[in-house]
This record gives sequence, structure tokens and C-alpha cells, in this order.
Amino acid sequence: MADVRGKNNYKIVLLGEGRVGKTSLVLRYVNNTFSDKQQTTIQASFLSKRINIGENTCNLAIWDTAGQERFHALGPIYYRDADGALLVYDTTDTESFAKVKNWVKELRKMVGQEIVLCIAGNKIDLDKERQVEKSEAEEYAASVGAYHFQTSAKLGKGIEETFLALAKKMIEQRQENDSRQSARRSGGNAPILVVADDTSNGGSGAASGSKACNC
Amino acid sequence: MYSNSPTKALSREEWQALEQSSLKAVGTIVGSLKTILGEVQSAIDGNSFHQNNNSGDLYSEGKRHEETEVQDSFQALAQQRKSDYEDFIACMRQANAWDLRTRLQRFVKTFNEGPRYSRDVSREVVQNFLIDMENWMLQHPIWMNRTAELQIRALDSLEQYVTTRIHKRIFAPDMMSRKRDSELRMRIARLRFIGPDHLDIPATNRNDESWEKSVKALQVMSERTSPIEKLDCILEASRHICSAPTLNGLHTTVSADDFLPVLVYIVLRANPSELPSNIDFISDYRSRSRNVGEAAYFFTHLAGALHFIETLDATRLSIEPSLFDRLMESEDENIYSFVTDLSSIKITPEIDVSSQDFPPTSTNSSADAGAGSEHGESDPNGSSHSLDELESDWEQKHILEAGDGENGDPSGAGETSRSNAGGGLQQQSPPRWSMKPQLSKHLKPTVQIASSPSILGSTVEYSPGPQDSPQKLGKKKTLAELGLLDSVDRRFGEEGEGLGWLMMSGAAAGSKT
Repeated sequence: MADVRGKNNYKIVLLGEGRVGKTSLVLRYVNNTFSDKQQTTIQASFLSKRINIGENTCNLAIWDTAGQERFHALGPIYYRDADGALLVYDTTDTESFAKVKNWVKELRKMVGQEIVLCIAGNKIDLDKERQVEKSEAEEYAASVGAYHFQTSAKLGKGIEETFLALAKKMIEQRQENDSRQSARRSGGNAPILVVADDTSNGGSGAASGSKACNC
Repeated sequence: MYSNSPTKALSREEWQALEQSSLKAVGTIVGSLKTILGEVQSAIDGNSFHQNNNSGDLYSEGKRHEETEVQDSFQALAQQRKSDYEDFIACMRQANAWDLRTRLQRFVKTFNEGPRYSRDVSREVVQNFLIDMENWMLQHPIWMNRTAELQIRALDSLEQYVTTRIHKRIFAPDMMSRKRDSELRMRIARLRFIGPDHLDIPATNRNDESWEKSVKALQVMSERTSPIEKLDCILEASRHICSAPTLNGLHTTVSADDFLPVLVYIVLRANPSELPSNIDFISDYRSRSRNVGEAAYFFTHLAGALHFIETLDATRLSIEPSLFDRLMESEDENIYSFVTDLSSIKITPEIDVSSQDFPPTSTNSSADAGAGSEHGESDPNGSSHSLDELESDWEQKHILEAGDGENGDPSGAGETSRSNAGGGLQQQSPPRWSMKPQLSKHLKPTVQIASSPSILGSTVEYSPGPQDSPQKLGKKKTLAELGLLDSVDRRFGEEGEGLGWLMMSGAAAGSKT
């Protein structure tokens, strides 16, 4: 059951302005499978869910963050070692979408491409008051390499899909990272050989070193 | 010291049995009886593996009596930690674990007696050792076939064992961390005026009763010596916030939007000692692969709250900037008097600057101390003192000093103390603590050394005199109210380098006014 090495644990950080429905989104997602009994013992704001994707079991730890502006600077503490980020905005509030754009910029700057991004436009049940067009948001998401989903925590729409896509991508990314790391480790011998080259051939050592790494 | 253990254990048994019988939890009684038996046994055989664990438990046992209202979950968690730990020790003492045991003991010994490393190096060394040990344990017949959950618990106990045994070396290892700790304590003291309104905590989310428990849990954290026990305290504090009836009336889950402001407020109320060092300690020494779940989540929130408090200004609060500045300044005055007060009181010739480098002396140290004061303070085997001893010594000296001011002999006192105080500050021959009245005469001249211009500059204008003593006695209360005393006492008891950070923060606070 438990995982000694924590290899299947994935951390998703929830970002977005206050009151866009971050928490209700996750509650809706996690509650559907959590039994009532478990609910009462947890009694906290930490939510996790175990899902099976193909052969992979993964434990999603979903970290809620405070959306108030005064806590904005704390972002890095939360997303530092996250595998994925779910950026939530309110489709009836353009400002919250602008906030998401800020988060994306910050995340790409601070943690680069390592983190999987997913943007969720929440409250589509309030379609009459919609201010952020779906096409606009999708276009933006594509331009920054993020998923985009339309959700409604109230109606339970689009939520499973959001987390599933996020989970799949995170698994993919981790496998990629692992293989890249093992490649780097096996390639770790190359520089030693290069050093030997270096002493005999002089300057050409650096070039052959970079070649060895690319292989 | 250990002879008290059986009687204490018995009273706890009664207390627990009463509680448990109402719950008809017979199984738990058996469990607690077992741990009591283990405690008594360890008190008798005094094995090195048990000794540390036991002394820690004796301390926390006293705490437990004080805080009977602490939630069951917390006790259950502590109980489980304890039985896990005992199981780990028992396994390690098995004959076929001798190789692991030897490695473990050798590491602890080498680490404690070897050269001091910087924080980064310490972390690497300890983490690497723990990872190696974990691999060996998981391949060992004792742990190999256990369920993953039991394996995780065993590894947590390993971490607890190692970090506790080398705690003195790895906790707040440098001046930087000590300085940061003291600065935060000062800062929070200056921010005492912040209320729930300033953080926009809605009235419906307020619950003083649960908050009080939260505050206590955070304050206890500093007494724990391993990351996992500290995390338990954080978990406890957070659960009290989350389970507060008013906050949690409608939902079973509290959003971070509601949670974090309350946590910030709790930290401000608690002003826990050594908070930054505790956060660093946990993030450095808690196994990264096992630092998951609820505990990690709340830990991160606490780190966030700390960062928020360290960096906050009027723009981050719902308060007029001018009012914020004014309130900060008014708190400054209290702190300023606190610093001058401390520099006069704390830097005494009796400070044991090198307690860490010498093995602790045996139980006859109190008798020894009396003798020590008679033939000067040259005994190099200065023993390390517990928090309680320091506290009472401090108080006693204070009272004696007050008396001294009225009918003391200034010339004679000055002569003897110069060398003593110098020795204490230069960290040469570490002097001993003493309860003897004649030593208290040395205190006054020390004040001059403490507030010497070379260190504190012109900011300290405090000149010691007999008439000041009663006033200082009065001040002690204010300091205790500030909640600033305990950490300072402890640090001064532990290491002489503590003097430095106080001077620095003292100068900083002084220059701000």
C-alpha cells in the first residue's frame, strides 16, 4: 500500500486568486471517491487522491494555497518541488484570468519546463456572466504549453478530465526525467574518458565531451 | 534523576487508566503498560540506546501532565511514535543487527566528536548516511519482509534516533541561524499589536479556544529533538485550527484562503522560540521522500507564515501605514529595555561556554558546583545544565543581586570578578554555575563588560548601580510576558557564542530607535 520511496507521489499545487473556486474544485474531485468515514478523520485542508492510470498507480497530493494578494510572495515556497500546477480562474472575472497569466510567467521563470501546467476556467455554470472567452483562454494556454479545461465545481463538470490529463502528463514527465537522469549517469563516464583525451589531444577535449553528452 | 521514573510512571498509569476505562479501550492500556515497563527497564539498565530516549520522555512526561487537555489524536500520535521507536531500538539490539548497530553508533560517535561542519555539509553527510542506512535496513532480514507501512515507521524511527543523538551539532549550527531566530523573536514582539482584523480573518472563523491549543502545540515544538516529532507538533497545531467548530462548521475541509491567515496569527501569538531554526532543521533533516502528505503540507504553510512575518510591512496588512509605524515604535521601547536588561544580566562569569566540548558530568554535579565555587572557576569539566537549572539559577542570582545592591561591597566584588568575567568572555577556563551567595557579588562589574562601547556602541546608556537592581527585578516580569526569556536562557546555557548574536541584535534594535 504505502510507498517507501515515494516514487508514485505527485504533488499538485493549486494557484489562483481568492474565491475563484480552487478549494471547491478539489473538494468535488476528491470527495467523489472519499468515503464519508474518511472525511471526518481528515478534517483538514490537505487533500489527496490515489488514481490508477494504465499500469501506474499514483498518489496525487493536492496542495491548496491562499489566494489573497498579501500572500502572493509565498508562491515559491509552495510550488518549489511541485510536479504540476493547476491554475484556476473564474470565467466571469477577467482579472482572475490576468492573475493566471502572471502565475504562468512566474512559474516558467522560476521552475522552467519541469512543472506541468494546467489552466482551469471555473464557474462555467454561470455562462451568462462569462467574461473570458473559451477560445481566448485556449489560445493562451497553447501558447505557453499548458492544458486548458473548462470546469464547474458546482455541477461537477470537467474536473475528472482536468486532473487525469494533469496526472498523465506528470507521469510522462517524471519517466522522461528519470530516463534522462539515467542517461546522464551512464554518460557520466564519458567526461572521464574525455579528460584522458584532453591530456593527449589538448583543446579538442571539450568538443568531444559535449558530443558524448548529446548521445 | 532516573530513580524518579517508576513513581512518575505509576501516576501516569493511573491517569491514563482513568481516561481509558471510560473509553473501554483495554488494548490501549496494555500498550501503555508495555511502554511503562519498557521505561522502567530502561531506567534500570541505563543502556546507551535507551538513555537518550528515556531522558527525553521524562521531560515530555512532565509536559503531558500540564496539558491534559491536548487532543487525543496528538497523544495517540506520540504514543505510536514512542512504540515505533522502542521497536526500532529492540530490533537494533538483536544479535543479527550487530553490523547495522555498529554502523549507527560509529556514525553518531564520529559525527559528535569529529570536526564541526557547515550547515550544508552536515546536511549532506547526515542525509547520505541515512539513505545508506535505509538501504541496509530494507535489505536486512529483520525489516525486509515487513509491510511498507511498517518499513516507513522503522525508517522514521531511524531518522528520529540519529537526529536526536546529534541534535546539538545540527540544530541551529551557526551564528546566522541564531541571529535569525533572535531577530524573529524580537520582530514578533514588535508585531504584538497585530490582531485578526489586520489579517482580515472573518469573525466567523475565530475560535480562541482552539487557537490557544494551537499556540501551545507550536510552543512545544522547540523542545522536540527530531524533525518528525516537530512535524507532529505542527500537525497538531494545524489540526486545531482546521477542526475549530466555527471555522469548520459547514465544510469538512478548510481552504487555504481561510487557513493561512489564522496560522499567521497563531504564530504571532505563540512567538515560538527558534522558529526559523526549527523550519530549517526539518527541511534539512526530514527525509525528502517521506516528507509527504498532511505533515509536509502544513509544514509548508508554516514556512510560508514565517516568511510572511519576516517580510511583512503595512502594505500586507489591513492597517494604516502611519499607524503601523507608530505601533511598531511603541513596541520598540519594550524591546530596547529588554536588550539592555539582558546584556547586564545574562553575561555572567558563570556561563559555561564549552559545555558541548566536554562530556556531561555525573549526577553529583550540584554538590560539585558548591565545591567548585570555592576553589575558583578553573574546573574545565563544566557540566551542561538543563533549562530548569538555568532558570532557577538565574532567578536566584537576580534576587541575590538585588540584595547585594543594598549592602554589597563594591570594591571587593570588582576585584575578584574582573578575572572571572574576563575568563567567561574569552572562553578560556569555563567557570561553573553556582548557587553560592558570594558569587553573586561578581555580577555588577560584569555589566560594564557587557555594555562596553566596543560592542554595543553608544546605543546602550545603561549604567549599573545599586539602585537599579530592584528595577531590574521588576523588568523581568515584562520580559517573561514578552515570552522572550526561555530561548535566551537556553542558548546562553548551551554556548558562549550566543553572546555575539545578542550583542548584534541589541545594537540593531538600539540603532533603530
